[in-house]
Amino acid sequence: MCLGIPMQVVEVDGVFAWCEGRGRRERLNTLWLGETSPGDCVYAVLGQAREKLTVQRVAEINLALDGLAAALQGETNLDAYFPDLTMPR
Amino acid sequence: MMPNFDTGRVRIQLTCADGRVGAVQVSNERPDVAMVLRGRTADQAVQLLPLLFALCGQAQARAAALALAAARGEECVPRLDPNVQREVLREHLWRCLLDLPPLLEEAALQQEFISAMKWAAEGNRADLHALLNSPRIATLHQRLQQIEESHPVPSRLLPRLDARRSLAEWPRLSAKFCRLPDWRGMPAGTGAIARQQQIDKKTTSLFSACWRARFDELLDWATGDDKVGAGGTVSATPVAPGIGRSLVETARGLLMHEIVLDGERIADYLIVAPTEWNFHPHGILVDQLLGQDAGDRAALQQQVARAVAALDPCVPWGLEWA
Repeated sequence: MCLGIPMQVVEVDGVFAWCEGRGRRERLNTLWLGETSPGDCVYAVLGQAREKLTVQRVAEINLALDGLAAALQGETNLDAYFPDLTMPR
Repeated sequence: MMPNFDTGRVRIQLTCADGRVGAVQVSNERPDVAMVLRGRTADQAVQLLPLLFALCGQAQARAAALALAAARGEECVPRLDPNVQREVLREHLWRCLLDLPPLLEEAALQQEFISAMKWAAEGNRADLHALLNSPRIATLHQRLQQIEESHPVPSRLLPRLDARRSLAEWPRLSAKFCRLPDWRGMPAGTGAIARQQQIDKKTTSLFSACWRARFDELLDWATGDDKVGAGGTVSATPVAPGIGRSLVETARGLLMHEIVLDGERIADYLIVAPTEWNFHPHGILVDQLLGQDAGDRAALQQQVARAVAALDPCVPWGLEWA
């Protein structure tokens, strides 16, 4: 039940890629996806790039993660973080 | 900068005395996602969950959708869900072809993994069957046989359960149960090893038994012997009016969702993930490590790494020495 982090590929290094997102920089294994290119948005979990994401999906995930971070800091009105989602995953 | 937080980790702390591991503390720290689901509309919560959980996205999505349908009165008898099953196969392939070989001082089977992922996606069972019977996989099995650990496999593994049968074991889930699940008062292991339930418990180490069970599940699919109860099995049942529960057999083990509705909004959302079973503070990891020889710290560290890899937490882990 691991939370994922959306990241953007900045540099491809063989089957690995340096990726950045939510203030982090990580070297992810991209074998799960096959080919990746700089600029691709990916879902990062346990050092792996697990899924390619659209820009729209990245925005939705980041908003949901912001909502979770706000809840963890004690915020109770979370409606702004959870608008109706636009499309099924 | 976007607000950030720790996405979770398993902490393992060993206390050694007189050359043995005398105490093992395992803590599983993760944000409580239920806190953002309460108060959402039911449909929104079901869409939200797979957005947040990247690792078993298909399993989480099915668990959420089925639990919601069950809360609205719809039963789902146990069946293999093709999308969840494919996700399980792909997870097993990653673990068995990329993660396992280095643990056995062998090179990762990268090209085989790329081919096998394609076969799993295409439903090409024959080619996967050939790979699983190839000399390179035979070498892995031989290396697994050579691993000797003093502890036998623990006998306490979760039985095969579906949503309806789970009601007899756990009439309702609770927040405490989600953190510290138990089966008949004790922790129990979950995963392919529990689903297979045919390990020779007297002679097989936990490490090799867990890996063999993953290979067996892959082989069952490759030979067309995959049946309800295997990874990818889903079921759901109404618990009471407005309350529904789903069970999904993921790569790591049993995932349970229970949704409590207040009209069309989420009053409570309870999730029990496989990592809570396998990394329970009194669970099978602790059983494996207690009493181990602590004379050679590097060797012990390797043993911990192997045990953790066999049980496969869904979050990063770290080892501390008390």
